[in-house]
Amino acid sequence: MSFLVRLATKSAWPGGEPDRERALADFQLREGENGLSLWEYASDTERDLALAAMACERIDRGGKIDKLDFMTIRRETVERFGIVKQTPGETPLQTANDKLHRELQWSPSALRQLAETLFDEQHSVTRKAKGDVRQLLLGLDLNAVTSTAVKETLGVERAKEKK
Amino acid sequence: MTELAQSYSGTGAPLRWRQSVATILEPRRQHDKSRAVEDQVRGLVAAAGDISWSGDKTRSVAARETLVLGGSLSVPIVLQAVAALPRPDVQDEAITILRCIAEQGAASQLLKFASAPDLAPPARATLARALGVAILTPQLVKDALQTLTSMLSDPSAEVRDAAVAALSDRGGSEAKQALQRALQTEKADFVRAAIREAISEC
Repeated sequence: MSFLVRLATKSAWPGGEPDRERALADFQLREGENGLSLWEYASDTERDLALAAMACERIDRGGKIDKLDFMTIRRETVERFGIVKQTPGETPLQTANDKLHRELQWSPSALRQLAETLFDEQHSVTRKAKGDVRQLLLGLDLNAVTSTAVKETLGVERAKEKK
Repeated sequence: MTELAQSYSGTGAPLRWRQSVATILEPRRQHDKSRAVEDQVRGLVAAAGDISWSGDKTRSVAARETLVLGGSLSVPIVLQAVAALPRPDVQDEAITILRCIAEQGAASQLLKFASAPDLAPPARATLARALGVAILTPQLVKDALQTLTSMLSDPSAEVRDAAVAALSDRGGSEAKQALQRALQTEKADFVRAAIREAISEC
């Protein structure tokens, strides 16, 4: 059995203070975007790799190591609404990009239908605390990271860890 | 000006973005306070706001640079974009832009917006996160801590959650005390969990 994972807003979904419209925004396309980005995993190792890829992308875009709020969805639930397409990801973790990245190249209304269903079926958002994300990143092989900014950040974190 | 703004959507736009930044925004940064320059800057920043949240990464980077250089003029545009599409990745980008703007001397503008009651919760949450990570002067840190502490009693759980994370980012005894007080009154389980985590990190 495999699952898809995507960043989402914890407060907006069941388990937080549910707000349908706010939750649906997590599945809305940006202007100019061809598809909604997700990651597929079939094991905890793959899930952690996908989460690490998302954390690395955040750092690469000028952010910091931070908690990750994400939703996991069974692949078959998503496939009720359309095709799950494998496409290369654009994060600084090439292994994850090549193996785990998926896209939902659907119409905005199909994406909305999926989000509505997830909301009605009480899907909630899981939080990985900042400390856990840091540990996840410290476990990465730096040779697998393509971004200088991420390498520098992880270098600093590793030095802190040694002290 | 209209021509310049329109050129952003054409082919080769990223290069033109950078040229525009250099030729129009740089003089402003050197304290040219004339009305004409100010209007040009406003136009550029508005055009950057229109496309900076698009899926085109190269163009987004150039637009982001423009928004950062736009300083306080860019703040409402960034917040508007977040309110229109409050996706986590859009918020992350906005946090980076707002942090840079704050570090370049417009932190008080961020503080002013953070206290605006009519601002949408995702925008307030984004402001809180930016105030948590920006490198500020001691006085502004004090003001930011005060603002973030008041955000702990915001009606929106999203804002309270963001304020908790921001206070954890700032750290220190004042932040810790504010979080300990909030733990006594916070109703939402996930925010309570975030507060406990934050207290252990302060």
